[in-house]
Amino acid sequence: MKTGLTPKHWRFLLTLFIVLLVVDVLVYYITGQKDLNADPNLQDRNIETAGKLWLNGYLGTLFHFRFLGNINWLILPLAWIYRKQILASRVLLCLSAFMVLSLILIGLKGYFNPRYQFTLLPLIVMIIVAGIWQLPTIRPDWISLRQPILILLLLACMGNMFLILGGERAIRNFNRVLGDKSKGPVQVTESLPEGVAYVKELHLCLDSLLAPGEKVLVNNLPEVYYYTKAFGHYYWCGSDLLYGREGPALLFKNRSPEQARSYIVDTLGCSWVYTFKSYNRYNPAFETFLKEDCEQRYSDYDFTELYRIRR
Amino acid sequence: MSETALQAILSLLIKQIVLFLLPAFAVAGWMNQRMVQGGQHPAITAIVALGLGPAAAIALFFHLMLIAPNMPYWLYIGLVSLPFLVLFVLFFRQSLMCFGEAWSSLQKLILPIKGGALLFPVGLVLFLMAWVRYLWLKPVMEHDTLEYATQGLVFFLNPVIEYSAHRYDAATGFYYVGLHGLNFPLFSTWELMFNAAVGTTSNLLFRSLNSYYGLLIALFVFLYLRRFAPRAAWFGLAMLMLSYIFFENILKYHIDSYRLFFGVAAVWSMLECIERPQWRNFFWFGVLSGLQASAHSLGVFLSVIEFACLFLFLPLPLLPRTKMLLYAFALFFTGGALHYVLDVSIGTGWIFKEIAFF
Repeated sequence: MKTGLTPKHWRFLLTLFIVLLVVDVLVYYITGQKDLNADPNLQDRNIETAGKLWLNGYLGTLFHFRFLGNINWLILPLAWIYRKQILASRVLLCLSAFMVLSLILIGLKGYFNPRYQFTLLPLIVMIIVAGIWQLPTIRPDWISLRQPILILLLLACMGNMFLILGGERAIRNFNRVLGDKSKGPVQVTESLPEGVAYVKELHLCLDSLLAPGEKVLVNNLPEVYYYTKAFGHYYWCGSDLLYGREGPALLFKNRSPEQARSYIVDTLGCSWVYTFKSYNRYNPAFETFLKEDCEQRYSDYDFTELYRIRR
Repeated sequence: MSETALQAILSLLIKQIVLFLLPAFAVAGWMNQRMVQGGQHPAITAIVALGLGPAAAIALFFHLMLIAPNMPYWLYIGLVSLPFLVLFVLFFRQSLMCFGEAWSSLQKLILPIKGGALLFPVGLVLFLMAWVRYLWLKPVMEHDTLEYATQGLVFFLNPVIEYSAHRYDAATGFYYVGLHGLNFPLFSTWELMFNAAVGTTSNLLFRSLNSYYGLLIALFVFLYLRRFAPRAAWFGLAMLMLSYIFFENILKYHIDSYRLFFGVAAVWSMLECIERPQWRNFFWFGVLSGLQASAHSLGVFLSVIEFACLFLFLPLPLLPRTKMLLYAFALFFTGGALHYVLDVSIGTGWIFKEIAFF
């Protein structure tokens, strides 16, 4: 097949392939390291080590491969290739200044939340494709090279997607996104502790499980307010903040376990705690309260849990 | 009484016509009238209008609830639709031309593919059927989305936008922890008001928002890259879909596609201002950056960066440059930044308070 590619082009493609592979391996190696002693919140956000904090956090827009794909960093070499054109064009200069300032802003203020790193993704994809397609304006002999480069990048994206889709996080996410809650996997019911009843969708049953007037301590699960008539005191154990009429206030940090229990039961009037299993470990005092002062009664497909506070 | 699937789908269709298509057609006609001489491609204008229309309608809804609270639901729905109805009538021909061009652009990209003539209509119908079925099966169930939906419910039960130190609902104990503009929750409010006015109950419109705006982003990328070559458009689309998060996000109910759409549209508009520094382009930049801000706090900062970049790189003398930017800034302020000014001065303090990460 006549491709119009010269040996020099093939060498370039081979080099690009090797570079993509090396960068992928390096980034996946660094971001694959775990520190099980670190803050669970940081572990959940995949930024618990210094390397992960940089690659998944500050530079996440470019290097958070597990989340945003593995080609975004190519805007850096593209910017270098186009440096003369950028300096000569107000449009490109404006776009470049916007991208640099936005990357800094998102890196500094959005490193904690991968969704913020998602902000520039469509623009980056457009810049990469347009930049590669326009390469012949810089080097006319590259006209036959731009399509093979894009095919190579597409293959790199597919490989990355394949890696991610095989990962535990993706399976968990897709189960949450696409899972048919009405069925519910059998193994969940089997793994529940003794005395805990499995319900299909706990939030939809809440109105029938609670006696009229009973109040709930709601651990950051707003479905209680959207789907039920229950009165819930809004709490987030990750920050130990109870959100009331006067704003957020600490619940466990300034109180002994007995005082906290008394406050929840007597002052707030709560009889139940509605929480999510993986949230509980964010706050040892809250987790201890659940273990020692409460009794788990219900759990659902998603490991949302309902505890009865012992009287 | 709960609706049947057919009733819910029918009500979704009517809501989409009233809140999505009517404002989009009105805005597209207006934009096309004002921008086509500037050289913008009508297909891109159509895509931007499809996103801008509903958000502009909701921005109007926000202002109505701010200055005229506790009106009957049907009056809010009517007053929000009225200006768009007028624009729709005035710019009907321009609008048809704009969407006709977008449609033929898509056809030109797809029909030359082997089997494209069959693939296009069949694919479109199958996609719409799968989309609606998906919306029907998947309830609103993620933290942030539930926050927005619940705040929307609070606004529905008490139709007033007030600013106070804490967004606390004494009736349920709900505390709105969101920091961002209120436009996204107001989509939920609008749908609940529409339901109350016509007797329907489903929330499929709110559920459809993320995938609707996700689709618009994909179409924008596709049609924008088409200016280089059809193949570039296909490569761009494939790469966007193969970035894991875009694929995952489009299946979720979240604010991301909504805010990202305005991010992309505002940057496009910013570059149009540099290329053709005319008043009409600054008008749309002001509107789009305002909606970008109203969607999300990050949008405020991105808009500020865009204004700074424009100030630095506009090919105009200082005085006209400042005038045009002040004009755009006034629209940005009214369309989105106003909420944050109120929130900082008489409200929750926005980001100038201790922020908890959820």
